[in-house]
Amino acid sequence: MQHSNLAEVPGGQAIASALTTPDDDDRVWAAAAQRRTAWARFRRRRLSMAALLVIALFVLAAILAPLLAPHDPNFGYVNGLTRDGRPLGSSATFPLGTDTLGRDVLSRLLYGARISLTVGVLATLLLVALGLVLGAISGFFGGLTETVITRLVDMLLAFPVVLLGLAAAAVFTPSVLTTIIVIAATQWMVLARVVYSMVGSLKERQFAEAARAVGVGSWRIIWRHILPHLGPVAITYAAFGVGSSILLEATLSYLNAGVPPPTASWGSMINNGLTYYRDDPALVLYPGLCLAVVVLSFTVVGEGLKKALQAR
Amino acid sequence: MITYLTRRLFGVLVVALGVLTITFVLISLIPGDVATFYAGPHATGQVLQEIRRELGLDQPKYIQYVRYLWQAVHGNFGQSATLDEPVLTAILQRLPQTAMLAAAVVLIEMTVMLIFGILSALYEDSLIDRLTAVLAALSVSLPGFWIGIMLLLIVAYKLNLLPLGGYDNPVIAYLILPAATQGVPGGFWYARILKASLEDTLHEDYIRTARSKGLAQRAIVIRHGLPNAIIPVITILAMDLGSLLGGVVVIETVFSWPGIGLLAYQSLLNLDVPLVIGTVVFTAIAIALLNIVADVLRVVIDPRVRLA
Repeated sequence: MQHSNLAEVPGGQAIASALTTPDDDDRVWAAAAQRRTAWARFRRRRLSMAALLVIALFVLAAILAPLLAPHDPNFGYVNGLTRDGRPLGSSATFPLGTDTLGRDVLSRLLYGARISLTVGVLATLLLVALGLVLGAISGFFGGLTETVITRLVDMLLAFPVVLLGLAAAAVFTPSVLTTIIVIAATQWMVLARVVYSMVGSLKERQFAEAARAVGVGSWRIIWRHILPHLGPVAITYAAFGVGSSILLEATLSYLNAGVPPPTASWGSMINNGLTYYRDDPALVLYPGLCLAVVVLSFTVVGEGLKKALQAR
Repeated sequence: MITYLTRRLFGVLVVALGVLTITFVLISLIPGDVATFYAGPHATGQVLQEIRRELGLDQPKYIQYVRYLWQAVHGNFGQSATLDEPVLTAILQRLPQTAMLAAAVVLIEMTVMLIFGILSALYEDSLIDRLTAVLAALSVSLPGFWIGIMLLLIVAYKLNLLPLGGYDNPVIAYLILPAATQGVPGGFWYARILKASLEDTLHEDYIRTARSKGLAQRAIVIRHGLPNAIIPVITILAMDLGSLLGGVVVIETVFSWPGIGLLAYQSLLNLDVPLVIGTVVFTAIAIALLNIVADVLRVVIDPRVRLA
């Protein structure tokens, strides 16, 4: 808001005001006010708040998994299988039954939440950072940097991510870390493209011109003057990003290309239950429902943030 | 047109070079000795040496890289480690099934999109509009493989209406479930995009003219709005080719549909690295080519677009 005022005044004044830098104080204040109103708008949306609550509950369950889980999630209990080696239905000992190896499903769901949320959040942090940096420098500098990065974005955007994940899993030993890297490396492009076009117009605005005129370096302009404008976009995209990263982790783990066994992941639990889905659909149903609820919640929060941060 | 196509085909070459470079780096990063993998754990040192020479592994990395590119130019992506046939042959054999499934998915997507996109634009805030919105949100939140398993369980196993996956005659019976698993959710997602695009179009002047002539809302939306509103949606559809094929890969594994995705998955389980890498390179180049086709099609649909 501060900057749109600045843009309206004649160029000389803009430079003068940049020289005396009232910009910084005002900007910090304006940004804080903007955050407050955005939060107020978000809070009024009942659906978004409900989704946030659901996410909070899952985060809590993930953190408290060691306390809440009735059993060791990776231990196959001898009394967890029927005599002919089939998984058990729900009982007092195993509230949601056992899986094909006699492990407690409830405990695995709780520990699976840890994997899903950790991978989702870390991959998102990484991919938002990548998208911001690569988008900003390609939009700001132009030239060869621009050509190389936009080409890379186009190429990766038109690529089946899942196949790349399979290839990475064939080459590296799959682990939580490689899963996070694969997800981040294949999901940063959409944000980068948005940032690229935003920076392209932001750098022509008067406040950036004024900063350049008084001799501020390129990197400092990007960091101090342009990046703050990208906050709302980055935050919105991050909410969607966590959801889609969780989904991708589940898909990769389902294909044996993500988090390796015996670690409980909702995706690999579905894979494990696949052999028995006809007799015991619960093995596939529960982890799928957890995934659906969590990812849907992040999508709803993302929509809410988009509306709350966009409306000015 | 000719200059355009040459330029775009050059772009495909760049993509191919990029993908081949990435895959070469990936292969070089494999821990351990590839020769041991081919020869098995009990091979003698001499046999290993011979295999290394045969695969060019005794050469410096940059020569290996040039050799890798040279082989790829000749359509040689190596020999499958498990199938006893060249990688390219194995992939080409599965191509028709994958193409068929992808085409069926797009067909279902377009049908669902047109029906629900138009209806939700016509009857704003009606039950059908809200239902479409909810289903669109669900479609990006539910894992495709999970939807597939649930459909298998209910439609194929409990109700016994369709076969439990696989590929046989009549193909259509085996095709319906996998295609619907991906096509129906995708269709609702695109229906939302079509609705938004229709709303934008309906603010244009020529629509106001049509309305002032006294045309019914239905005629305005379908005859006047749709042809313009659908163009950005088609652009998005073309951009989503990668995720379409990515989805097909996963769906194939759920339904044991013998396409490229199932091939890639099985080769991963068998640790058949050349074959997995081959599917990646092949699909990347195929998508780059398909994007050109999509661009040309856009010109055919919309005379305002110029190839540049």
